[in-house]
Amino acid sequence: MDKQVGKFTSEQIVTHVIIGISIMLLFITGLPQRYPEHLGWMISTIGLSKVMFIHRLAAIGMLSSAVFYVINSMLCWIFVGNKYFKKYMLPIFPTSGDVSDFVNDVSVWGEQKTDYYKYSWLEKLSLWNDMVVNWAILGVTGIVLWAPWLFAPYIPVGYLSVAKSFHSGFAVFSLCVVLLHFYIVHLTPSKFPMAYSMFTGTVSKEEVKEEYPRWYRELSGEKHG
Amino acid sequence: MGLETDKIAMVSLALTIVVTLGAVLFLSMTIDPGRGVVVDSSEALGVFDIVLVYLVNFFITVGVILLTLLMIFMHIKSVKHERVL
Repeated sequence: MDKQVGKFTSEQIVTHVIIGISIMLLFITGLPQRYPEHLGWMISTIGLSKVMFIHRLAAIGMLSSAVFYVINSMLCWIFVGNKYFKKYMLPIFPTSGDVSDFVNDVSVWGEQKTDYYKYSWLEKLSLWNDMVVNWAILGVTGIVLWAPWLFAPYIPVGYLSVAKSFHSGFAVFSLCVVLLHFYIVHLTPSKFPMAYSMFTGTVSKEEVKEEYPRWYRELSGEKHG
Repeated sequence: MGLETDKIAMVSLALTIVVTLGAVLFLSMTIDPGRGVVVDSSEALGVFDIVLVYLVNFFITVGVILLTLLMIFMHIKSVKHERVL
């Protein structure tokens, strides 16, 4: 086995970078609109029209990453086959093992380390938060709020208010998940100042052995536990 | 698999640009300021809408509290084992 082990594809790295930049801009320009009484000074500094322009530009970046990720994953699955699916797509789906990993991790009095596979439950939480909350819920409600005149003839006006509540509410939820993700990859003692695997696409063999024991056993040919 | 996935990535990128530009152009072309819709009208909310908004706010509140607790637990665990995830 090589010293470095591939964990992320170059497409996943690019998608992550675009999502990272977009989501920071979305939070910076979106939160002042949610809490104008506290953060209104940000809007008054550069103006509401510019804030909205940056917000929509970042939203285009975020939704583009979703379109790219979906198209690329589907094409790879179709043309490369099940090998790609098993290596890069199957490990991101939640399993029953994630529940026991979660229970073990939040049991702060537990002594044993969690036997992670390629992606931990928290990495999956970040990923699925991005797909379900950021891409689907915030994406759909954001488009409705961006162009209400397209939807007004088909849905009651009240639903536009509901869409606004959904959009701002789930944005706060998403911010909490992003902060948790930020803490895990930047501020934990073993990772500080940051984990580089999302930029290099690889992790060292020692790190796999230490952090993802179950994946390490599979890579080194031991029986899959 | 590398070369093949690189080609697929380029095709995906081209398709993404086409789809995104198409969507943005479509939105831009349909803009009609004269048909603006007031989104903040709380009078238009029905009982079902109010319940829905309440449920969302409840879910968000519980979610934020749980995620905060999760971060505290994970920190304790990481300090204990000198590693996390």
